[in-house]
Formats: sequence, structure tokens, C-alpha cells
Amino acid sequence: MALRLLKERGVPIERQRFTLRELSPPTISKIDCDAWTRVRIILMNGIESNSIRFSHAAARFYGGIQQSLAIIRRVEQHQQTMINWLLPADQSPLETTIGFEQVAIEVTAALALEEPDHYLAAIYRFGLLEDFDHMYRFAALMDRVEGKDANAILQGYTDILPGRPTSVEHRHPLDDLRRPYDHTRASMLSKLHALTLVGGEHQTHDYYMTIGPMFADPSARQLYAEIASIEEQHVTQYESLCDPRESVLEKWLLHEACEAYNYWSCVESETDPRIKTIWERMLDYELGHVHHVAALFEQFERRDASEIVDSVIQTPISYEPHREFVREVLRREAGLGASGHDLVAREDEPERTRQYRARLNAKEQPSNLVAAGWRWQPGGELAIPTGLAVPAAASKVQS
Amino acid sequence: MKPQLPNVTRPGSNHTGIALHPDFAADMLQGTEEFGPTTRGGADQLAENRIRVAQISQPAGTMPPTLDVPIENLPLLDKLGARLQFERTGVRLYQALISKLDAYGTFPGGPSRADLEQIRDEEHRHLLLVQDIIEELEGDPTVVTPCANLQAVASRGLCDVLVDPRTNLIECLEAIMVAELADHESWELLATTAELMGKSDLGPRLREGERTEAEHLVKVRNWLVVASQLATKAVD
Repeated sequence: MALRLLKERGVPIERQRFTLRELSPPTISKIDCDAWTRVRIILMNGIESNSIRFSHAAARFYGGIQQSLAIIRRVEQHQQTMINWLLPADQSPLETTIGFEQVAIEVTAALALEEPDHYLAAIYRFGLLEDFDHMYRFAALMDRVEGKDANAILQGYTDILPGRPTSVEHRHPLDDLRRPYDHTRASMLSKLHALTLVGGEHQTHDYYMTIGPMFADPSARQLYAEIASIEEQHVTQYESLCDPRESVLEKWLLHEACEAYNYWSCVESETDPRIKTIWERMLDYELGHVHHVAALFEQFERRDASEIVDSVIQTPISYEPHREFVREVLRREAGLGASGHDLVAREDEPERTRQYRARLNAKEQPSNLVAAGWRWQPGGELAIPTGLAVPAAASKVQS
Repeated sequence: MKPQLPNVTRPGSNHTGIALHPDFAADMLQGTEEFGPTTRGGADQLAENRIRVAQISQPAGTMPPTLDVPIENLPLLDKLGARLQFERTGVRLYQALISKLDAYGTFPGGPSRADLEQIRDEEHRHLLLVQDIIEELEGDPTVVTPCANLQAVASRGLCDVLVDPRTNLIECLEAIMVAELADHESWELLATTAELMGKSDLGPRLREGERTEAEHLVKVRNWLVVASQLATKAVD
């Protein structure tokens, strides 16, 4: 069933309420849940946190809408809590990291396939290959430090293979900024895709910055530091796709539309009945937000909100494996780099990026260290009799 | 090579105890008199809350929906899955312990590199043994069974101690001791479970695993006794 953002009223803001007990619901089961349920939970936590981040920034600049921002932001903070608290305590930070990268790979692939703008789709494929490599590095770390198989989290939906090597993903900041869409001409779906990826990547960056220091293993700490740096690049990249000429209310309306689009996609694909009920409730709340912000938009800007969110959305985000698509992108585009707004062959990257990368990689390359000689194997590399013969990453690099 | 014991055999700069600041302690206690609790009751309220949430919670996990596995094998496969995961992690723990020996050296009467490599290899053989048995029982060795998952949670801190670059060989042997105690008991329980289930063909193989784990336990215990004596002498 299609999503009509301005026709479906949802729940009015004054009826959007939570008890503290609701904020900490029973969790999903790490080992029994379908991986897509975990993926949706992780993504929606990121979408909510991105809206809250935007709302705080807007409140610092625009006094006239502070009250509405505060009221909706509180609801969204509670929505985020309720969703994030669905994750169970036995899911370790590293296991959750594997979930984060599965989100980054599968959601980015889904959006790249649906994206009507060729340039934006190319940027999504570009970012996809980098998160794909992060998954491989974290899976190697998990196997080699904890003796665990990351596939227990991924459930076979997502490949564990090297992508564009993390050590070559480091770029000068000016080579992470992309060309924004034109807000007067871009489709609403393009805008919602970009916002979805900003939200996903921003929470990934913040999560790694929070949990990275909690690891005891030096290689783990170094890997999180390295990949957090790339996630900051990704936030910069995706954020720069959003037209800075959009007004604050236009951006706010798009954020609310993005949340509704994502919750609707969750409702359409969720297989766990209890979690589906949560998505349905959240969708109704977001539709209420869309209507509130649409009214503000019309009041302050004297424009029809349907100029911004006029579309009927027919296709939800697909939560399904994109194995063949990702492999095809890997074959064709792993060698790409960036020069300013444009994607170029890596050998054509600007000198500023070459120097930046060489300096950052000069002493050690944790992402190479943890995965030296590592290849995914069901049950981990120790599951084969010769598993111990694989040289340990640390000894190989230090020798 | 870094020295083993200086952090516990001479005074350092630990700031955690209140006795270092008796004036602060008195001030803080005075504060608790003036600003008392805002809610009546005690720790039993946490217990009541745990019970309430337990009553609405589902199990942390279940066995997979495998159609080919005889249902009577499931409890044994759960325990075998736990040993398999523990041995996988155990190999990684001993690899980390060997790094400690390489970084900090050993001590008189302590393990040699060959000693630790032998245990690491035996843990790996146990891993392969359990993997084979799971497959013989038509189970899937890649499954994280409920028991495997809970044991992984229970032993999470051991890995943290072993891979922390600041911990020395002796400190890590203490963490390994906890792992070996749990491992030995679990092998014993596993062999007993198999025998109770009438899996007489598995009994001897699992008992062999238990015997090897008992040897590990004895070795680690002896190294720790020697280390303890060294620490005492260092203080003398």
C-alpha cells in the first residue's frame, strides 16, 4: 500500500505519549530474531537520532520555532529510546557493530537501486563499497580476538568480503564533499534517500566513538579509531548531498517525511508481530509530526507544503539481500576515488588526498593488520584443522 | 622484556580508596545526613523489578528449527555448542597469553612458550573434536546455541583481561584460571550428560577432553602458586 504523507493524518502530537516503562520494552533475541529486524531497529535508531540532532541545531538558530521543535524533539527522543532499547544486553558492542555495517551495506544498496538521480546513485555505490570493507575488517577482528563468526549476526544475507580497502578510503576533507541535489528539481525520494544515509552514517560514527575506547585489545581500539574517521568522511559526504539552500522549515519537513518513509518501510517488511506493532505506532506518530511541521511551513513560508512533500511513495525500502548487486559494484567500482565533487579512478585523486592518506597511514594500518590473510570461513578460521597455521595478524605486521 | 610484578610489590599511585582523603570522607558522610534518600525502601525493589520483567520476558534464545536432528539430541547439542564456542575463544585466549609471555617474559617456575603452545593446540583439537561430534549428531556447528551464547556473555571479561596490553603474564594467568575452571567443569558435565543420554560412544571421547582440561587446570594452578610465592618474596 502506498504512503501518502499529507493525506494520512496519523496521531496528533498532543496524543503522542510514553510511560517510562514503555521506553524500556522487552528486547529482541540476538540469536532468534531475523537479522532484518535487527537491521531495522539499528537504522531507525539512527534516523531518530539524526532528527534530534537536526532539531537541536535548528533551535540554536531559529527562536520562532523553538517551542514546536522542543515538543516534537521530546517525542522523538522517546521514540529513539524505545527502539534502541529493543537491542539485548547479550549482543556485544562488536556484534552490534556487525549489525551496523549490515545496515550500511544493505540499506545503501537498496537506496542506490531505487535512486532516480544517477549522480546520487553513484555516490551511494561509492560509499557502499567502503562500509562493505568495514564489515570484513570487523568480522576478522571478531574471529581473531573473540573466536566468533560474524555470520551468526548476518545470517547469510550479507557477504563478508574485502571491499575498497579501508586504508585507501582516507581522503582529504575537500575530496569528501559532493555536489548537492537541486532542491527545486530533485525528487522527494532523492532527498529522503540522502537524509536516510546521513542518519545511518552519523549514528555509526557516534557509536564507534562511544564504544571504541571500551575495547581492551589494542588492534580493536586502533580499528575503531580508523573506521570512525571514515564514518566521519561518510557523514560529510552524504550531508553535502543535501541542498544547503533549503530553508530550515523545508529541511525539518523533509526530516519528518524521512522518518515516516522509513517507519512505513519497516511496517511493510517486518516479520515480528510485536515489533511491527511498534513500527505502526511510530509511523502514526511521524505522520502527526509531518502534519504539524507542514502547517508551520505554510504559516511561516506562505507556501504549500505539497511543494515539498507532494509525492505518493509507492515503494518501501527493500529489506532483502543485495549480494549480486554488491558484487557487481565491487567488480566495477572498487578502484574509484574522489576528486572534489567527482568520482575518479584512484590514480587520478588529487595530491592533497595522497598526502593526507600517506600521513595517516604512515605508522600503522589497523584495518590491514586485523585482516592479514583472513578469509571468511563458516565457524571462523579455527574451524579447519589448519586454522592455527594462519599467521596471526599482529606477528605478521610486527615482524 | 617488561618486568612482571612491580605494580603490586611496591606502592604506586592508586587513587580509589577513601582513606587517602579522610577529610573528604567526613564531609561526604555529613552530606548524606543532610541530604538523605528521596524514596523509601531498599534494594529489594530492584529484585521485585527483576521478577516483574522476567515474567514478561521471552527466553534469550532457542535451538534452531532443524528438521533432521532427532529431538532428543537437542540438549546435548546445546551443551556441545557451548563447548565449541568456548574452545574457539579459548584458542584466542591462549594466543593472547602467548603474546603476554612474548611481551613480559615468564618467571622462574612459570610457563614456557612451548607449554602455552601445547595448551593452545589442545584447545584447538578440542574444538575440532566437538565440531566433529556435532556433525555426527546431525547438528550444525556454526549455530550459536543458547548455552553457547550465555557462556560467551559470562566469559566476556576474561577476554578483556587477556587482550589488554597493560596486563602482564601473571595477571592473565589468573583470568585463564577462571576460564580453565569453567571449562573443566563444563567438559565433565558434558560427558555426564552424554552418558545419561545413552550416548556411550561419545563418553570416552568427551572424558578424554575432560582429562586434558584437568591437566590444564593443574598446570595453571601451579604457575599461579609459584607466581604468588614470587610476589611474596619480592615484598620481603
